[in-house]
Amino acid sequence: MKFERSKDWWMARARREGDAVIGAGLLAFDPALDERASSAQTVAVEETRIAFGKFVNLMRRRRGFSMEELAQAADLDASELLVIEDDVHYVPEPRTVFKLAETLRGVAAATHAACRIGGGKRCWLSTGSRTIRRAL
Amino acid sequence: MSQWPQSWHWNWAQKTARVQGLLAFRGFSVVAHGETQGLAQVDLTKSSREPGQARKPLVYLDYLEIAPWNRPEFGAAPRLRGVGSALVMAAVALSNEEGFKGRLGLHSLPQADAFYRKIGMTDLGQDPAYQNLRYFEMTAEQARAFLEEE
Repeated sequence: MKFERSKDWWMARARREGDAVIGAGLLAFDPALDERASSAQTVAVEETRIAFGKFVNLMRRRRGFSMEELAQAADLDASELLVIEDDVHYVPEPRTVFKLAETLRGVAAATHAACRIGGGKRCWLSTGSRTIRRAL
Repeated sequence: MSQWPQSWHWNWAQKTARVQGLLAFRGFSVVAHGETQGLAQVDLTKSSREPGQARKPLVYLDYLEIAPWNRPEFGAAPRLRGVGSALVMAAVALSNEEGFKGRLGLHSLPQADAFYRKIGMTDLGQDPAYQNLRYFEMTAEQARAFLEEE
């Protein structure tokens, strides 16, 4: 395809366009609600991360584990356990969440973990009636 | 691509992946100063809706987007003007080449309605099947006027 016009012709078209906003098609439609998290969702995710770290910390201390002991029992690195408890920005792998839950279940029979990997990619770590939902 | 804004809005790779390998879809880009300034994608399988040219084949502008730094709605003055016009012209020129006589159809973004009216396209109203975006068509006569030489 060949389309030739003089520079003046193109400049005239650019001037005519001015500051007009140009776009077409749903792909260019903003916002696309299915692909953007709202600020409310972001806050909620951060809150669950804080709660998750606190929950692991409390469970560990209740069971009388040091950080190294729990890490060894769950076959995790102590350094990872440290960031899980202290860093709200850290996102552990589902396997890590499962190993933690499995280890803590050995102490408290009512504790269980469920991970569902897929569309929402979320994990749950729960004990008794308390459930912490972990958004990955 | 590393210097592009980390914006969902400009994820061209994701957008092209949806039609990759389909011959009926073609793409245009405007490249200047070593950067992509705007992108468009067309579909050659659609037909006209405008009563005067109903059911005749046209080039449907499936997607047109200008790079964020060329868009006035973000506050700063656009670095380049005329990118959107150039992409529409490319689609109309392709329509001519395909034997569609310049016929063009598109669903406009709400902020762009005024521009498509300004260049002479016919507003066929909101399309409930397309999130109520307004559907515009360019007839063969309108295309001739649009591409007229100086």
